[in-house]
Amino acid sequence: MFRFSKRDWAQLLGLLLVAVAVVSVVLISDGLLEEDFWPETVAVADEPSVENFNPRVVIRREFPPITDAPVISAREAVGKVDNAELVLGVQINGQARAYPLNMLTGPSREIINDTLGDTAIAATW
Amino acid sequence: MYARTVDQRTLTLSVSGMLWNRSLVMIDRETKSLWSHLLGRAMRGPLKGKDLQLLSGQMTDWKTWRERHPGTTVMVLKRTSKAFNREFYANPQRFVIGLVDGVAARAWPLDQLRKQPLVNDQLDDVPLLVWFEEESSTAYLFDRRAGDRTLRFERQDGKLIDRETASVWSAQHGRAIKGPLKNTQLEPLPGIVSFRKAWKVFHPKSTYFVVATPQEGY
Repeated sequence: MFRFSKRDWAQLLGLLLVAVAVVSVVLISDGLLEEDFWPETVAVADEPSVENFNPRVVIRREFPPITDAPVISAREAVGKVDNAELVLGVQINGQARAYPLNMLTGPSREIINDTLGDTAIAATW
Repeated sequence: MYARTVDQRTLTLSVSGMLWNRSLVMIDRETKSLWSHLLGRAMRGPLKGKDLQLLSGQMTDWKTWRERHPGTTVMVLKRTSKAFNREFYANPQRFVIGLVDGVAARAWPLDQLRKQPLVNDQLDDVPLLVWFEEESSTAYLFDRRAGDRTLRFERQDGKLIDRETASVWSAQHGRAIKGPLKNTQLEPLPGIVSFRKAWKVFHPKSTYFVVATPQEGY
C-alpha cells in the first residue's frame, strides 16, 4: 500500500500553493476580485427596511396635522399662484387639485391631509 | 401623494420631527405609527409593515396644470418658500422620476429625458411609456398596454403616435385623441419626482435609464 512520506506531503503542499496562486492570478486578471464582485450582498445590507429603521430626532415634538387647508378655484387663484410655480397635481374620480410646492414646504407644511373625489389623501412629496 | 386609508381606517398624518436617511418621517395621529415618507411604509408602531397607496400625481407648473385641467381647484396657503418655480430644474441631472413595481425600481434622470423625451421601456413585466415635456419639465409615465395589445410609441412632428395603429395620443392625459384607438386610456403609473441622491438611498437596487450612445469606432 502506498504511504505518504514527509517528502510526498511537501510536494503536495507545494502543488496546492501553485494551484491557488494560478487561480488567484486568473481571477484578478478577469477583474472578478475587484470591488463590484459582491454588489448584491452590499445592496441587500444597505436596503432601508423596517429592520434597520433608525430615525434621528431633529425637532423634539410632533407638528400638528393640517386638515383644513383652504382650496379655491383656478379663477380665484389669479394673482395668488404664479404661472411658473411648480405644483403637485392629482386627479381622482374626475376631480383635479393642485398643491403649489412653495406652500407645501418646511416642517410645518410638508403634509396636507385632504379629501378629493371621495378619497382621503395626503398631499406630500 | 398618498391615499391615507389603511385597512378601512383613515389616518391623519403629520411631521414627526424625526428624519431617517435625511428624509422625512411621518406620524399618524390615530396609532402613532412612524412612516417613511419616501417608502410610504409604517416602519414602527402598531401599523408596522403596512403601506400607504401611492397615487399617481404630477409635478408640473401651475400654468401647464391649469390648462390641462380647466376645472381644477388649488390649495392656497401663505408661501413658505420661493424656490419652486421652473428654474428649480436648472440642474436636471440632480432629479429623477422613479417608479417602484413590487421589488423592482427604476429611475429616469431628467437630464437623460431631456436628451431623449420618449422612452418605450419595461420594468419587470410591465411595458412603460415615459414622455418628457421639456418646456414645463414634466415627466409622464404610463403602462403602454391597451387591452391585450402592447403598444410602441414614437414621435412624429411633435405628436405622440403608436406604431401598431398610428393613432394619435395626448401624452398629458395618456388618451388616444385620433385614429383607431380614439378614447382609449392608458393607465397612469405613480412615478415620483425625487432628488437622485434620495432615490438612490431608498432604492439601492434601482436601475437608471441612460440614453444609448453609438459606440466609438462605429
